[in-house]
Amino acid sequence: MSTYPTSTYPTRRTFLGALGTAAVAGCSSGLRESSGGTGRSLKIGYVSPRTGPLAVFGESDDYVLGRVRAALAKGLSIGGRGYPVEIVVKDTQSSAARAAEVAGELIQRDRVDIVLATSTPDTTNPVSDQCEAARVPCVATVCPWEIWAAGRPAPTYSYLHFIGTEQEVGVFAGLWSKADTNKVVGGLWPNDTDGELYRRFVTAEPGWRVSDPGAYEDGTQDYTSILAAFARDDVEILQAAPIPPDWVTFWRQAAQHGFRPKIVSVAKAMLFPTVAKTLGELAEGLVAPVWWSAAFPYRSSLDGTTAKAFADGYGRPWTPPMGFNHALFEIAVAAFRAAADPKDHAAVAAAIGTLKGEAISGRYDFTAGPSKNVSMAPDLLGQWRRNPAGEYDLVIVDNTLDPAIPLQGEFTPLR
Amino acid sequence: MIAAIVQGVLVGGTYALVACGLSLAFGVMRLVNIAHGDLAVCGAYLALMAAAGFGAPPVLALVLVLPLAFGVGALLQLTLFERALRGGELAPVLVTFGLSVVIQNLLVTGASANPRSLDGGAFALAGFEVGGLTLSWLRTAGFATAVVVLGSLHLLLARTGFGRRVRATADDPEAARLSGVRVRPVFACVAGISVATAALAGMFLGLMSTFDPYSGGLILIFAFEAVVIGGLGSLWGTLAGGIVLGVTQQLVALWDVRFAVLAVHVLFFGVLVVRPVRA
Repeated sequence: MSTYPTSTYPTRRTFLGALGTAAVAGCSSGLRESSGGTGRSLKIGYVSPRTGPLAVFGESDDYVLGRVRAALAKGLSIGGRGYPVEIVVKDTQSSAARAAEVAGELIQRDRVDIVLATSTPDTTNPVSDQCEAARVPCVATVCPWEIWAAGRPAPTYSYLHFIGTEQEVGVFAGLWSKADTNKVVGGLWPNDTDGELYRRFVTAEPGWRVSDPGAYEDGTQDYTSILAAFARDDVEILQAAPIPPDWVTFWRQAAQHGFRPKIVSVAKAMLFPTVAKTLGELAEGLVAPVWWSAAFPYRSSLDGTTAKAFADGYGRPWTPPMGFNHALFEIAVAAFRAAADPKDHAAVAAAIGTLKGEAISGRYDFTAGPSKNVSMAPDLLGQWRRNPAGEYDLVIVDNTLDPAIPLQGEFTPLR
Repeated sequence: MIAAIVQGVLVGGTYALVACGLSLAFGVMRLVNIAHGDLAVCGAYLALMAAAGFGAPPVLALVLVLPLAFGVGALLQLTLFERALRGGELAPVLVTFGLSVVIQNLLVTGASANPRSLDGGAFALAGFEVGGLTLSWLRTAGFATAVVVLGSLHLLLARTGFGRRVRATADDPEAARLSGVRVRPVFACVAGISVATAALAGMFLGLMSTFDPYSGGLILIFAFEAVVIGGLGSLWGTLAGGIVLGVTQQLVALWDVRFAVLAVHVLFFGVLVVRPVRA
């Protein structure tokens, strides 16, 4: 037996405890250092869902941030004064509550000069609200402007640059009228904000008869009742706004049941090339909105990179949020340059409202939006087609809203 | 109406297939495995890797995936669950919850958050007609697999020497040990079977829909409800529970799609209130 009392031996537990304390201490001292040097550097906070169910939106973040950091490595020279640029990145873990929390951290602890928020209302809205409350400029994207603007007091510090659902429905309807159909539109709309908006705007669109089996829950595993309703109403046009997994389940089941409308337009789920790859030949001919693609004829205002080079450099199939996430930084830089003093929050926020320009995602214009502090992006339509390499590409078939972007093909109905 | 019931039964088969491993682990070891859904997702990823690696259809990948899943299950039992089960009622729940988080994050790191799916070829997209009803081959196969798996598990437990040892251990591990049953290997085997069925179910789900590192949670909820409605730890009860879930979902959807999934949860809640967990 040892003569020492056992308690003086470091047990594993006390050891780990000590280790944890040390780690926390280490982290917090790191934070103090980083927030100390805010004097002349410009700090940009970036909030996106990198993990959790929405992670597909934030998947390209490392690449996008790498490109932006490289472009801004030398800092910005504004009014004859040099400012190093620092980007602080926060993950929302796909939760709205967490998004608000990290936005608060960016504002209080990191003392950022502008907050950028991207991907779905769960990120853009809580972050914008935090910035309004703290009077810090904020630019958000990848959330239909109707959802961003609704139910919030008129914004002064927060801005949004993105498409709108009503506009998108209008573009879809334009495409539908190109084909010879019975004008019966089946709505596959889930019980969420996006689904509700599509239901409202499609139903309001004159000249179409809507077959609406009701708002199903996300995560439904079986769609036979919906398919039966569509078959009963002889649906020839399908308009859907599901989350990706539900769309795959639905569309496979539709194939099993022999349901094949003439036009299938799918918002949300068919934005991502990975979903098209998952569906394989079932993806052929599906119509999806295009708000950004590698084929856009625009360049980065930071370093002149073309959309094509930007997408190719990723090394994986490009995703639409990439372009808009990159554009957020371009807008932030433009706002810093336009403001009299880039460290003055009110001046920067006011400056965003005067911005008109071009980013890798296309034109933005905050002076003439459909709602205060909104810059509306044009919405195009694409059709998924198999390329000779056996992969699926989103081929632009409708450019009504931005003729500067070239058409890549002619729309063809499924049957 | 009849169509809805038939489709509901088929959907219920899928629920039961996911749930049977959960039911088995609970029935034998009193292990509430929160990571069950994530293990199913792992099975789907394994099938995807095997299918991509060897160019084999997912069904053939099973030859590789099932033994591997069995091994993983046995290993988890020996290294993790066993210790957790000794730590009281709450410990296994917490440990498997932790395991679930670990699995999700490992999958995100290793396979990215992209939704993936298994390509079942023409079979997975084909349907057939019976008496005016269109049924999917894939879902029918899923139901048949559930019945076969549950049936063979039942036979295994009821008719074989191994089953007797399992039941004896489930009733009273100490007494079983005194009578010469080696408890550890028995539990390891049961955990192995449980995880293997999870992997099998994961593969079917991958064929029907997509999976991503986070889809285990939703899978678990339905499996859990099937187990509870069917009576904890009872295998045929699990099949019945799954079918009840599926049929409820379909019948309510006939009336209004909005309440289909809600109805399932309400039913689950109702069962818990009216007939709390049977010992």
